[in-house]
Amino acid sequence: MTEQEFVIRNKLGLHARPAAILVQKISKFKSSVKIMKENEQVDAKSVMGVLTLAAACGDTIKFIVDGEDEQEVINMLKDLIDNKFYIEYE
Amino acid sequence: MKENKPVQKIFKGIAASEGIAIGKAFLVEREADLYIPLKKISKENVKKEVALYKESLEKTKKELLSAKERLLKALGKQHALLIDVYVGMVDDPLLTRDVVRMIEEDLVTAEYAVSVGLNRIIQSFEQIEDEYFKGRISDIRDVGRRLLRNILGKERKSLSDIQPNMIVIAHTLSPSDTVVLKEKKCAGFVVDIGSKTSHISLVAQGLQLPAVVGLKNITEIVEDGQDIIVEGNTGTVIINPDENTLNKYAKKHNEIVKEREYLIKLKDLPAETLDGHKVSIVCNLDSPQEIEEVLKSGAEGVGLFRTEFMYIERDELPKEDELFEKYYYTAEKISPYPIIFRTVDIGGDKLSKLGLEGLLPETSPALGLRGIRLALKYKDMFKTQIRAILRASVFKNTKIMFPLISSVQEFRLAKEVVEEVKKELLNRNINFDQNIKIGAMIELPSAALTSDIIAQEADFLSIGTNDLIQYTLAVDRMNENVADMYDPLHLSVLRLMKHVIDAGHSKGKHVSMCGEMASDISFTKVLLGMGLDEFSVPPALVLKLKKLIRGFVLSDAKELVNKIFNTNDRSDVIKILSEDENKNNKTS
Repeated sequence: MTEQEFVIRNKLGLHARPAAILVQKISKFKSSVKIMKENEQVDAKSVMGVLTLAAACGDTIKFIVDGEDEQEVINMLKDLIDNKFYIEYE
Repeated sequence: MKENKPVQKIFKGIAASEGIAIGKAFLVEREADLYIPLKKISKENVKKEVALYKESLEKTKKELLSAKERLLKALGKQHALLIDVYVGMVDDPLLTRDVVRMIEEDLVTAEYAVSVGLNRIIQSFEQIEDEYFKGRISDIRDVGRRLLRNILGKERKSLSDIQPNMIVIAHTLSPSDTVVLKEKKCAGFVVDIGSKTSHISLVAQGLQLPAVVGLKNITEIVEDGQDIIVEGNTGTVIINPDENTLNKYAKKHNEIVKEREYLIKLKDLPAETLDGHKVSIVCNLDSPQEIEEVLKSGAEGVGLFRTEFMYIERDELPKEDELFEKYYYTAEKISPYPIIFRTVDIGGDKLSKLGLEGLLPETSPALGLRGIRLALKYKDMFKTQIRAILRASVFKNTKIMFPLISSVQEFRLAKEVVEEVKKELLNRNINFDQNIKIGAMIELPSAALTSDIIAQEADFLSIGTNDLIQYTLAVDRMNENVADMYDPLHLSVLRLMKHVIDAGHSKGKHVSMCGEMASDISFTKVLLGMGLDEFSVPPALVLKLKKLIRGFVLSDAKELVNKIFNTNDRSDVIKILSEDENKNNKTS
């Protein structure tokens, strides 16, 4: 199991489009992925779950990844979040 | 006999999309909400129920994808992408896994299981304080209703019966419904639910349909065929307006229509000041699909084609033919107007994804290997792109621009690559524009300060304001600790810009501006006064900018710039600008 914290840097936070992109990408992996914000924990493969976190710009979220491809998941997440989900205009 | 006049009633909702609509109400019946009574099924029917449910999920997904296609055509990529989150909801394990589990374990109908599942998640959304995230409830309800409709086999009351100029009153509308409204020339709409950030609101803004949302129970108050006014700027809805009100709004509506018609008339007129100084207004372009919008906008070409779209979100470099196909299409569409291709401006972080190696880790990517630096290091990648651009230059309207140039030497190196590729193409007898113009993007202080030297060798200069400001002020706009220090009106920035424009002109070269500052109409007069030749802006802004420029006098704008350059305090700059704006408002 690997845990990794990230700070959301998108202006609007983890809103509809980044959440959809995030879930789509994570769903391609075998690992089980959970996201924690403060004391809340959701399934990272559930877009509705991810949206209930209401993660805003500057919030720290923790990914808990468990499975054979967990390192690849973390790498993908790092790239995605670093690049603000590749969304040019919010 | 005394006539029984209906009483005027005014309601306040959420202003979702600007404009005024006056017309008759077309009431779309309120649908059953997401509450479905508990109904048990027998053990033998579980399989059938699950199969029906899975079919309905598939059907819902298909409907959404086709809605996405329609939105793509009507409004472009940005809006269509909003549907992705709907699709994501249909794929959510909460629906695909948990609902199935509930049907199997609790022996209940699919519709009941869906309603329980969705209401549970809606409840957790209701705890959220942030309005935006709370607003997603309406999207979940939308998806839920679609799904329930498909499970129960009910057809939605057809919106295709709407007559032109009617106002739709509905509990909710999906983004794809709003496209139908536009096609049917409906005047506007009012819905019970939703917020400013609901997808329907965003789509309404894109379609320029006046709309008010979040009226809670307006569908229970309005009757079919009643007279209605929708005022989208303030979120006001008036039922049975009296004569005074009607006249007032009709007048307002007229003004808006006139303004729009006036703007449309400007489409084919030049962007020329009252004293006859012409500038050109061109568009920024992010992908070939958006070219249609540019064609409709009244712009005189593309001032910045950001070519990154083929390099991101993929795991290998684009092939020359792939690039060529897109470039050729775009150049042909906009021809005979010019189009400036800015060669790819990606950072090293994207490279490893594209399968390129040899990059050391960077501590400050903004100061690292990006833009033309990266292109010169990965020359094969760069040459592939240049070849594609040159091959697309057969319409003789294509220009090339290099990003992040820092010196004339660097510009020269990049230009040499173009010359190399030109020779190759000549040897292979491939047709291209041999006189293709090559310009430099001025977005680094180092380039701005030496722009007179660069302008000797570049055919044109284009000021990229976002980076120029960031690098001049050493401020990362995304860094909240310093974001408020990002200031386009900082005298250092204004001086640099003026310097670039003067330097370009002294060598007889055009100077344009892409970047956000060109699109901010509060800076237009200053930029005009500095002598800027070309404004590159998003399509939606072209006519507004044109109108503004056509109301200015060049000498007046120059005087404004002089005044600003004679201050040494930011607050004086602001004061001068606001005084000038007031003056302009009075005279117009």
